[in-house]
Amino acid sequence: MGVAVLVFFVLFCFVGPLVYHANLLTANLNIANSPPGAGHPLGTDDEGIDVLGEIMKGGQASLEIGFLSAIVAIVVGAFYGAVSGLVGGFLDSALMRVVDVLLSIPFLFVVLIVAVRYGASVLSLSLILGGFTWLVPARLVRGEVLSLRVRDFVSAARLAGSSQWRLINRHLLPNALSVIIVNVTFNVADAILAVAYLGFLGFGLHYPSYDWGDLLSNGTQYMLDGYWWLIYPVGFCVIATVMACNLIGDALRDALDVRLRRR
Amino acid sequence: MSRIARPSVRVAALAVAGLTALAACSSGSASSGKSGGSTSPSEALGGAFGTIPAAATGAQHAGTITWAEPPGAAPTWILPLVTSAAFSVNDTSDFSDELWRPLYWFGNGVEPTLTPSMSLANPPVWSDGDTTATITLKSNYKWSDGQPITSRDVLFFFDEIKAAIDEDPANWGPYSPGVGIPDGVASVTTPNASTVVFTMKKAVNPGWFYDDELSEITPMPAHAWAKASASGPLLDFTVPANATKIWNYLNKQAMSLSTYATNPLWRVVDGPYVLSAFDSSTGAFTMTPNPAYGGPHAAKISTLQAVPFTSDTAEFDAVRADSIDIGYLPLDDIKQVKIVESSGYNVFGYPDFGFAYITYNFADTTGDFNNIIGQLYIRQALAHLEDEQGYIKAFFGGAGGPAYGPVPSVPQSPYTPSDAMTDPYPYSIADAISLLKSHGWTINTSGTDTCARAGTGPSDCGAGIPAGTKLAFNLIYTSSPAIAGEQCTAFASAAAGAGITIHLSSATYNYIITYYDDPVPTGKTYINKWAMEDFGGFTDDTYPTQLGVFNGPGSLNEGDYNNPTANALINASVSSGNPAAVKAEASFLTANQPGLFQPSPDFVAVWKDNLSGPQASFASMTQYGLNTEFMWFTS
Repeated sequence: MGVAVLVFFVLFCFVGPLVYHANLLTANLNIANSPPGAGHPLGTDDEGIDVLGEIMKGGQASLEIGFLSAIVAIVVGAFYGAVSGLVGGFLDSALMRVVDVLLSIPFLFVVLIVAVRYGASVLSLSLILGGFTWLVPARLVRGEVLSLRVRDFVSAARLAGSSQWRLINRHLLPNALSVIIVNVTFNVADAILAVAYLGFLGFGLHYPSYDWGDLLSNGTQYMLDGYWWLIYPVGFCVIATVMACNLIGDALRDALDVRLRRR
Repeated sequence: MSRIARPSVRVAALAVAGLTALAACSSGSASSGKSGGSTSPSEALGGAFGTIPAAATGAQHAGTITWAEPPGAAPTWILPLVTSAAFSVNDTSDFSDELWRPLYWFGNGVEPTLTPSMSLANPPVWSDGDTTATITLKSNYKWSDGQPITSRDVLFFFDEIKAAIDEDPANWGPYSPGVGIPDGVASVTTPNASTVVFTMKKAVNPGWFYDDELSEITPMPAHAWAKASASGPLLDFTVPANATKIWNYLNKQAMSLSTYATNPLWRVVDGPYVLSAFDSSTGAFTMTPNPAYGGPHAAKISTLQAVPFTSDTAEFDAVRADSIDIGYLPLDDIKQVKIVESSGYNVFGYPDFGFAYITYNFADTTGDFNNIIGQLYIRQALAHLEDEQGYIKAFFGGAGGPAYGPVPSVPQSPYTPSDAMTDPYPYSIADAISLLKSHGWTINTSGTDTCARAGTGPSDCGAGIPAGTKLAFNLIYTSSPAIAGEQCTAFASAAAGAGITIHLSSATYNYIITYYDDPVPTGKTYINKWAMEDFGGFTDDTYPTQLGVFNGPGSLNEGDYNNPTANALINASVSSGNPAAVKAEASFLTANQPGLFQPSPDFVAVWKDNLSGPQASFASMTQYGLNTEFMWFTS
């Protein structure tokens, strides 16, 4: 179910514009805030731009940011956690205290400041979000590595002369893959929500780029005016996509987690 | 000097006729009955949003008027000698003016004109070739402790300005170095208790000095405040060393927000109110009537209670819940006007006397933007890309009007130039393209235009613009209110249609005015970080010279605009005897486009329909005026 929904939205956002052509560059204030009708199945926004086309384009950015930031978070977090767990001792404590400190920082404030200072783009938002969300996977992977590093196959690899790097690359991370994959899906969902927050606060992408949070933020200005087409469709997209990611994550966890499988 | 308007409240301009004068509507303490005639001001104003009912007849009741304090408008300063940091409508019009009245009260309903009855002095009499102004104080105003307001109280304010500025020019918000008060004044004398004589160092424009300089003077009670400590003796403030001690003491007291309602200093007032409660954390305050107030007012003045709101949404919810007497209708909710009216509110909106604009950074060397924006034809092309009528319809819900220069066509002022209603650069992408083409740019509507003919000839790109230069730059707009982003997005869209690439980004209002402001120290390192920014705009002074904003060395000249003709015209506005000088200045600036002047949304005031008073007292709320002393409850 989750996969089907996610695939649908990926196709909707990336293949949809090839089929449904909308001019998203030129404002037409004469038809601003028009309700759904001929030529504009989901109406127009306050600039007179087609909402359906905006949702497709906004979805591209939201999904790109979601996946890219999740990859950043997982790559950084997995290696950080693996090093910490494998080395242990003082370095492990120090690395984990760094994680604790960073976790205590209200990330949204920092993201807002960075977004204002350096501007928002798909790449910058992905890096910023990824730069803050690697902390949880780092902890999870460290925990997994702590249990893996005392296993026989790891000890055997050590005795065979494997370097620390090889241990991490060839033995530990592959065996922690279930944790990592499950976490990716949740990270995607979290990043899509985070970028929606940013857009909602007015610090997301700007014309001619869109993300779902921007569209939602714009729509809420007109909540009392009855312009439902500015809110419900894009709101549904955010909820459905995030839910799909979470469903996939849950399913993967059920499938990959040995303990859950035994139950 | 212009002062920064509330970021959420910008200016607008509509066709207008005069509004019934506040003075005519208020008949002193015995004011009663219907006033202002039977014609609603909005009928005469044409295009104003909503109506103001005529003052009710019948019984008048006093009570507590609750007033919605807009987000971010918490008072931060109480002393009438206002520092630059506190020089905003929140600290002046909405707060200290209720306690201490300025020498001259400018603002009469929606009109930026004098209200004689609310002024402490008669108009100045000029002599000696516009170098001497003689001012006579009225006798009906007194301090709340019974002492008369004398010429020494005016001199006290003047001497304290000098002391404050000597310590730091930022200690007086309206200060313009070298001109006006105090730098342009040779001496101030007090021949008797009711006469003050200002002698200038050289001739000044009487209109400017009266409207913009003398109006900044607020007499202060020398008999209570001329001391250096709470229990200290009164000092001779005419001695500079004493004036400095007094300034330091008053300044320190004014910084203690938690003692505003209890400090004996602030109990000596001459305005309609005395501050009885102040919450320094929220900005909430309560003012009770000053029984000794000598100016015009309702038969019985009501208590004024300011209720702070942290967002427009919260304020609008309060209005919808019928829990506030005076509030405003946020522009985003303009279409809810019927709901507001059906909840028992009157609604009236009108433009502020001022201007909103996108500031160009004439010092930004990134991509040779300084040389690009220095070309008049570029600024003209950009002006052609702004669809003011479209913005008003789509973004302001019709509650606003076009504005093409620093002096809006409305509210009408004696200084409004005759061409203020004419758009010199009407919306036309084709005209913008034509201008660019005729100056050597290759148009690329699916990309970015590039300069093809470098040079300084009439058909070349212009000085300092190399061939291959791209028409691409950034525009940072304030993240609130939403209309800023909407307008900038539409502008960027139209610009894209002409092949001009504008990279949009948003930042908070405070961030923009802190870092994207060339003259201030924090802005100097950011000079090459911004090409254009939209922080809002300015409220004009009554005499609307742009001495601070578009004058080369002006302290509010955020984008380093520096045009010799503009500077000369501004100088003439200030120093020549020509009453029309400021009109010529405004006309030139409108044509020369030192910034991209934007249409102006109305400030839409709402008030309960059981609250009545002279029409002008409600109309003045659109101009930041808060004249609740004229209002009464009908039930």
